[in-house]
Amino acid sequence: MELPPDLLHQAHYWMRLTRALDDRGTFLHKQSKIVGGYFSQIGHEAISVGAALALGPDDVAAPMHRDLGAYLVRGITPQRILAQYLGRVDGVSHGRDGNIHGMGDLNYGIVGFISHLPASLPVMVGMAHAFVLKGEARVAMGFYGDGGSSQGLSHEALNWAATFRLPVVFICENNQYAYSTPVVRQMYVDNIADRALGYGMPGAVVDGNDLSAVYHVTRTAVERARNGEGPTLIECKTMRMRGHAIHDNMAYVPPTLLEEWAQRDPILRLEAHMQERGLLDDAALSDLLARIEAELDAAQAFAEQSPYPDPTTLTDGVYA
Amino acid sequence: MRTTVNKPRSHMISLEHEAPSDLRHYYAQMLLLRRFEERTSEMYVKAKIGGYCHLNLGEEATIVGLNAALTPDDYVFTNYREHGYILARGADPKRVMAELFGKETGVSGGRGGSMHLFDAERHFMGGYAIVGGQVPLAVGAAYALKYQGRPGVVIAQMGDATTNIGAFYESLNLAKLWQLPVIFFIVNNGYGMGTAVERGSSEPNLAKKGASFRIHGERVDGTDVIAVRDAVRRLRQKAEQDHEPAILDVVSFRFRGHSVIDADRYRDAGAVRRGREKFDPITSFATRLLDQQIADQAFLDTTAQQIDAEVQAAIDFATTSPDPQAADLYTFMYATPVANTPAADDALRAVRINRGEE
Repeated sequence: MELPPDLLHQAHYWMRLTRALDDRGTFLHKQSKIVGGYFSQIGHEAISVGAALALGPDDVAAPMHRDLGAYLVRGITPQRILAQYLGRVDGVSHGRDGNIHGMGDLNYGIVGFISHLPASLPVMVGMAHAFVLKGEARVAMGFYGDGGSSQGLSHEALNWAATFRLPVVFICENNQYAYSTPVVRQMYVDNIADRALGYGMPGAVVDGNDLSAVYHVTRTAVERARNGEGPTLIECKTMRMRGHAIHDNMAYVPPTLLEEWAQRDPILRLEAHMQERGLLDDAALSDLLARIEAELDAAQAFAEQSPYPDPTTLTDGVYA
Repeated sequence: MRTTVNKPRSHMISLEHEAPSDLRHYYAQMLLLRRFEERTSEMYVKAKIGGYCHLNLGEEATIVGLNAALTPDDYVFTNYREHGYILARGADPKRVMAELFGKETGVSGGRGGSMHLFDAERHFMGGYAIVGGQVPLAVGAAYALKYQGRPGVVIAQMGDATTNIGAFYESLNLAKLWQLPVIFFIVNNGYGMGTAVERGSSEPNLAKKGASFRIHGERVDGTDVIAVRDAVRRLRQKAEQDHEPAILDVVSFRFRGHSVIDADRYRDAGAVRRGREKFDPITSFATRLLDQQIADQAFLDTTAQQIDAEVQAAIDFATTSPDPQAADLYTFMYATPVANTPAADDALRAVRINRGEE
C-alpha cells in the first residue's frame, strides 16, 4: 500500500533527524560530554517513526531506548533531548537523568522509559484501562523487545489487555539480540507475534525496516483499538545495528549478519522508494541533510549553554 | 463476556480391561482423600489447625489419577492445595495430619503447616504458598533430571488462575526451548479464588496456552480417575522419552470456597449444591464399580469403615503429638551453617521484649 507523499516526506524528515541526532549523541559521548551509558537506535527508525505517526494527538506511548524517533515525532525537541543527554537543566528531566531513560513528558503523551523491560507494558495497560473507564477514545502504545517478550510481565500485560479488550497496541521490536542472546536461544517459536494466538488477540509480523508497512499495520491496530475492538500485538522484525549500548563491541554478532541487514537499511529503502515515485532527488536530500545538521548545531549550542541543575533543588521532583 | 463450558465433560472409559484390584485401590485412595479433608475441615473449625487451609474436596479423581500414572522416579511440585497429593504419594496420614496441627511429628516438623507439606523420600517436593512459585522450581528440577541423565518426569501442578501469572509463561518458554521432561498439570476447578476462569484469562481454554510456545496441550475430565491416569501416562511417556513438555488441563468442580474461610458467596448456592452431586468423582466411580460388578456394597462399606478408622487414628496421633520445642526455632532453617544466625534463645527473648513480658 502506497502512502501519500506528504506523509512520506514527514516520515523521511523524522527518520533522518532521528539518525543524525543519534550520531550526534555518539560523538558527544566520545568527547566525554555525555557521561554514563549511551544507547544507539540505528536500524530502528522505521519502527519508532512509523508507529508514532500512526497515533493521534491525545494518545499515549511508552517508547524504549531504541525509539528516539517516537520521542521526536511526539514533539520532544532535539534541544531538550541534547540538554537531557548532557545533564542540563533544560533537559526533559531537568538534569536529573542524563540518558534516554527519564524522557517522559505527559504533555506530549510520552510515558518515561523504565529500564526494566518490559515494565512499561503494565503501565500502558493500566492507562488504557483508565481510558475505557473514563469513556475516552484514546489509545496506549507500548514498546518492548524480543528480550522483554521472554519476561512473564509481558504475559500478564497481554492477558489483561485481551481479557478486558483494552485499546492497547503492543509493538515488539525484534532486533535479533537481547543484549548478547540471539532470539533462537530465547524462544522456540519463529514469530513472537504468533503468541497473540494464546490470548485471542490478533498478531501481525511486519518488516520493521519498511516504513510504509510499519505505518500501515500500526495504523490499523490503532483504529481497531480506538473502535473498542481490543489490543493487537505487532512484531516488527529488524536488526540492532550497534551494540546493546556504546560500551558493547558486539563481537558476538556475525559480521555477515550486519552486512546483510545493512542492505535493508530503513532510511535508504525509504529514499529509494521516494526516488522511484519522483518524490525525492539528490539535491533535495542534500538540502534536507544540511537543514538537519544546522538544526542540530543550534540544538547542541543551546544544550551546551544550558546550566547544570542547582544543587539546592536536589530533592525537587522526587515525590509527586 | 464470552461464556465457556468450564465443567467436567465426562466420557466414561470402559473398565473392562482394568485389573479389579487397581480399581478398588483407586476407590480407597479417593475415599481416603475425601474423608481426610472432611475431617481436616472439622479440625479447622475446632481450632486444632491454624492459619490457611485449602481442601482438595472434589479433586480426588484428579489426584489419584495423576498418582496412578507416576513412578517413584517422578517428582511432584504443587501449590498450597496439596494435602491429597502427598497422601496419594504414600505419606503416612498421621504425619500429614500432625503437620496440619503444627506438631513436631508432622512431615515438615510442624514448621510448615497446611501449605508447606514436604516428603523428599517420596519425591513430593512441596506445597508452595506463592501462586505460581512452584512452576519455575519444577522446570528447574526437570532440567536437573535431563542434565544428570536420570529417569522420570516432573509434575508442575497448579490452579487455573496460575496460568495468568508471568512465571507460568517464563516456565513454558524454557521448558520447550530446553526440551525438558515436565508436565504442567492444571487443576482447573473453574475459579481462581473468586474469579471465574473466563474473567481472568483471555484464552479460557487453558490447554491452548501452550500454543505460543509450541507445547502440546490436552483437556481431560478431572472427575474420571481412569481418564486422568491415561492422559498423564501418555504425556508422561512423551515427556520422559522424547523430552516433550505438555500441558494437561484437568477440569473438575470445586466443592467449597477457595479456602476454609471463604464463604463462596460469588457462586450460586444452588448450582454449587447441584455441582457437588453431579461432579462427585467418588460416588460416580462407586456406581461404576457396582454396575460392572467390580465391587459390592460390602466392599464399599468395609472400605469406608477402614478409612474412617485410619483418619481417626491420624487425628489422635496429631492430637497427642508434642509441639515443636522453642529451642528448635532455628533447626532446619539452613542446610549448612550460616554466620551470625542468632541463637534461638536470643530470638525468643526478643519476642518476649516485644510483648512487654520482659
